[in-house]
Amino acid sequence: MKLRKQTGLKAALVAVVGGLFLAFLGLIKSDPGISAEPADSGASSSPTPSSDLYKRFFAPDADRGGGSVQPAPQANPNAAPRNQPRPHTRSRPS
Amino acid sequence: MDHTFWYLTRASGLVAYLLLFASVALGLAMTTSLFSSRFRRYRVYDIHRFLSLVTLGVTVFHVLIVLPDGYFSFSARQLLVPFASPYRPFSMALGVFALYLMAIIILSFYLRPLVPYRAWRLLHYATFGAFVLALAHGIGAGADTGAGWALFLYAGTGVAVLYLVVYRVLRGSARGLKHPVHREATSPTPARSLG
Repeated sequence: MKLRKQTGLKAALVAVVGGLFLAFLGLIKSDPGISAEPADSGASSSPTPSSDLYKRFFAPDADRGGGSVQPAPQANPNAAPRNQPRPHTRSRPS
Repeated sequence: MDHTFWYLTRASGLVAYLLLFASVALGLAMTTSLFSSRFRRYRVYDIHRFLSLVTLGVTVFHVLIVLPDGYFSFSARQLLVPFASPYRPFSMALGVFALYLMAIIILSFYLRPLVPYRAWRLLHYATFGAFVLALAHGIGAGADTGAGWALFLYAGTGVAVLYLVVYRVLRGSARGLKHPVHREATSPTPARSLG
């Protein structure tokens, strides 16, 4: 039965799919505008390396001062050294 | 940070969507008179089925390739359970439903002898639902939706499928009756009335 033949055409189709994939990959990687997030997308946005919206969404503590970017305490030479907990340095939940 | 996996999932999502479009369009065109004069129908059906399989493969790749991405840190549950994703849960759920629907429909290709023809055909119509779900998923969850070319892609494919559906409803059935085909030798969807 010839129904499952046409291997040449199928191979060509697979090649076209591969070419399309590479073309889209190149387009996405090369065009910085594509990474930009729509302005109205708010917190539930996709990863945007330029604006870090995604990091803010998945690791809000890191940007709101609850994580690694806490401001350093004021230096006080009279204060006794304390065992302060170190701010975690993780940028996103594991 | 390396965003390779993020790029891969975006590119594969677009390819999967285009493949789904091609498969749906081919399936629709196959049951109309569009291909009857130039191509043997069983060949078109064979390619249609092959395209569907490739579509499913690329879609599964699209889902799984985001798992190792350290930027996303998605779990398998978040990707495979509707509304479990923390990222745009509704749009992501549409994609999950589309994936499951596609898997069921493609599986039905191979279970065709076991399923009554009318039930099989009704199930096959769910392909339109899968296409619409995938389109909505692409628009809603795709990071490239804002790009002009992506909008053109979504609009063009959507309009093309709509046109083919209308063509099929209005003209396909009438032409199909003029060219009845043997079910076992050609398509499992002989061109009769759509309803």
